[in-house]
Amino acid sequence: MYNILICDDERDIVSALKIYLESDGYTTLTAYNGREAVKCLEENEVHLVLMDIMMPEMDGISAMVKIREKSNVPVILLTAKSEDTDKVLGLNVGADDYITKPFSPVEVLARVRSQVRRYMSLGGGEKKVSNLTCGGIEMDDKAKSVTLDGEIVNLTPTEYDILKLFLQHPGEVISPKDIYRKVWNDAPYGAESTVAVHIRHLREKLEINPAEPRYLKVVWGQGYKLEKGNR
Amino acid sequence: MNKFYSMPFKTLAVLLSFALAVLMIVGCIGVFVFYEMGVYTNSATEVYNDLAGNLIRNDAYNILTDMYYTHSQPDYYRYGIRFEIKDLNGQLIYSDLNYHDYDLSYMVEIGAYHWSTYDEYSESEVESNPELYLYINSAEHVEFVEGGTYDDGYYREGYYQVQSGYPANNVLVTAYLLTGENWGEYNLLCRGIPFAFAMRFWIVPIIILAVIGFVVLIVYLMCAAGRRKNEEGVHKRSIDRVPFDIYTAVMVGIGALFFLMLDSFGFGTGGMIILAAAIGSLSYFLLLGYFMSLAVRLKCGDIIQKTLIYIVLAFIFRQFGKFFKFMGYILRRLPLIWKAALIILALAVYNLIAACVYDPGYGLVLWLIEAVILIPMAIMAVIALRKIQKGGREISRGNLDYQIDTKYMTGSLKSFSEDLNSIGEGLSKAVDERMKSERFKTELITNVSHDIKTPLTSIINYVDLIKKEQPESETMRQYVDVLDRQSSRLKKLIEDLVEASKASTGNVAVSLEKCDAAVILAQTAGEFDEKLKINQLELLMNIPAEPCYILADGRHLWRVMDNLMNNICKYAQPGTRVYINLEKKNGKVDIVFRNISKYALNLTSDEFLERFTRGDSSRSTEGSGLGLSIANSLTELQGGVLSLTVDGDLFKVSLTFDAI
Repeated sequence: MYNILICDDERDIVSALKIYLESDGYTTLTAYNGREAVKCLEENEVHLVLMDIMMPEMDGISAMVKIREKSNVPVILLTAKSEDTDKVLGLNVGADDYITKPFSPVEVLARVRSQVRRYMSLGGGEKKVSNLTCGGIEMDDKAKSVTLDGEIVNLTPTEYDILKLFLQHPGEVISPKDIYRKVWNDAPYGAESTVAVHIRHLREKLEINPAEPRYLKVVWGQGYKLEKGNR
Repeated sequence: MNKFYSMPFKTLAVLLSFALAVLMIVGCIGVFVFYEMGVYTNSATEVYNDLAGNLIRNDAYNILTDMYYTHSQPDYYRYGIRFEIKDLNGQLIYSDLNYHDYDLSYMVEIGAYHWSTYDEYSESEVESNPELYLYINSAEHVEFVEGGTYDDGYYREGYYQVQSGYPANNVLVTAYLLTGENWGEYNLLCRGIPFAFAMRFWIVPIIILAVIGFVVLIVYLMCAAGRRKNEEGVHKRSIDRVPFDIYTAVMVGIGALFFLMLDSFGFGTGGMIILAAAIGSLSYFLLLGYFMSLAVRLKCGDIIQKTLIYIVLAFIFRQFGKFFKFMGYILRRLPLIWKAALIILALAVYNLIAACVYDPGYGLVLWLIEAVILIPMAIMAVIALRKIQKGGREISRGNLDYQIDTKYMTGSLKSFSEDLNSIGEGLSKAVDERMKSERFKTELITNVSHDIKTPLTSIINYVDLIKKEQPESETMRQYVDVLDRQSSRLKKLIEDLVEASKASTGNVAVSLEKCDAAVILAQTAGEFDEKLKINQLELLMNIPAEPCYILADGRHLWRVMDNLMNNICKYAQPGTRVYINLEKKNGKVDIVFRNISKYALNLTSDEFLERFTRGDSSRSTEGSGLGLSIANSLTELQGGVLSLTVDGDLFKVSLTFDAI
């Protein structure tokens, strides 16, 4: 049973989120501005915060700073601004993720689930040293199994090999040709789009929103790379 | 200080300064006279003996000459004459017997007389009054020579002489002081010499004090000139308004007149001394007035401007200036053609004159003058033209801030350059205005869309919740589907709108990097693999084996590809092939997308690139109609060109970038 604090000045959005999250098995707390959110956090045990940026009295960024003074509870920012600068600012002051408005309920639930799972499993420290990890992705090469935030992900052998290549070279940009050479062990003539198709599938399995990947990023015109997850 | 500038003060100062000036002059003359008298070098007795003795000797000589020697020319130089002067009581006042070393052994005392006799009494009176007359005849060694007619026919009166044969070499004359011809002068000397000795050292400080006082008063008067009690500023009297040069001329004239007047009197006459004193005093006051007026003018600072010469010259120059201005005005008003014609005509006449000169020397000089004037002018004109040319090119290239340097330009060239400069200014102003309004529009769209997003979020969420409620009736489900679809479309539309307005105004950050066009096409193909299959489209790619590097911002370029491929998926006829060609030629990289349209294409290629234009004018399908517009703007931002060709049902988009 996890407690989730929902904070937005738009009451309709708060109640909609409340319905979704409760139907998914979470208990919810509500606040309608940053000040209330900070107060609520002091008084209750909260496992995740969903918070709007544009709010009266105290905005999301200031509230974010206040919260981070005391707690490292995961915070997902909701924002109507899709400007890159706002995202960067939010993540810089300590947000763990953000969702741009208008959002779909499915996406919100997926992100909430991911953050909660990660937050709760961080304390466990039960990772095996032999495993390849990156953010929430964990690969057990002996068992040939991959988990994302603790949940099993089913991959085809090719997808598994591609992911393994990325996990072995985290943060490096790898061109489609190199991927083909290393995974298929063949001359990569005209096969780049095959690689692209497989990576797209892989992304669909690993990412909440494949168009805006957290881990497996497309470097357009150059290749692909795997990042640590915190965007 | 102001209160000391009152009229009584000034008058007093003028008079006092005059007095001091007189004192100064008299003092200086006194010093000079004293010096000449020997007051500063000799003792009082010496001076007295020198001066008084001279006087007495002169008198005595005169008398003796009259009385004694006139009748005896041969003896005239025989004797030294010595004097004793006694007062009426017989007291000796003056004697030159001991004055020099004379041999007094054969001194003849020829007698005594009353000094006054010669002047004040007639001859008969003297003769009839022995008290008054000399007693020469009673002296020893003196004899009387009878008068009478001599051999030469002249009559001579009888006279006394030293006895012939007596070896006299000196004659002593004793005078008893009464009055004489030089009595006044002698008297003056008797009183003046003690006075001179009393004053000889006092006079110097007196003169110095007088000089200091005079200078102070003059300074005060110069300061006070033009000032008035309790009033600020400089006031001019009527004399100060007279042109200064005229004033000076009048003063010089008066000075010349005075000099002539003095000259016409002889020197040394009594009348002349009085006249000189009068003229001197008058000159002093006139000069003082002149210098005070000068001071007033200097204070006003218009001493040069208020001269007749200046006024006349200024008037003449003004007239000349007007004339030249008028000529300039006419010249400027002349049309360029007339100006050119005039110049050419003038040159022709000049050359004709030069040609008509027979003397080759003069002809050369004329030619040199022409060359010296014309060559620099031609060079200036060429330089100006070069500047204008450069400026015109800069402006035409879009450097609207460029300003042509109009220094050293004249006439038509200058006005032309100024016009060019103002064209640049006008254009850049217009461009600025446009940029401003575009930015404003973008901000407006961003803000409005932001405000729309929040309610839209609620709508999307609640439509989803309704769907989850599993509505019983089928129609209800259909309606909710419509709501779902349309709210998603609205979301897409708003996002596209913001992006389109930002992209078209260049309001997005672009970081150009080296990209391989082949790689991005492969990536794009991979992304759209499934979507194409769903729409029954077959993708045929023609990509060269070697990399085709271009400078692009990967994310923006992906956005372009994404939009183009989405369009293809939406509007391509199912069951047809889609061609993507990548080609590198002539330093350019061309990416060409070709597909067969589902709908008849009744729009021109330009219309496709406009915002909100869609292949189907009914607008029934999903999409905002902004895809191509965004793609176009983003391509331009990366320095590429997006061109669009419609040929029947063939829809062709090509992207061109510079190869690197």
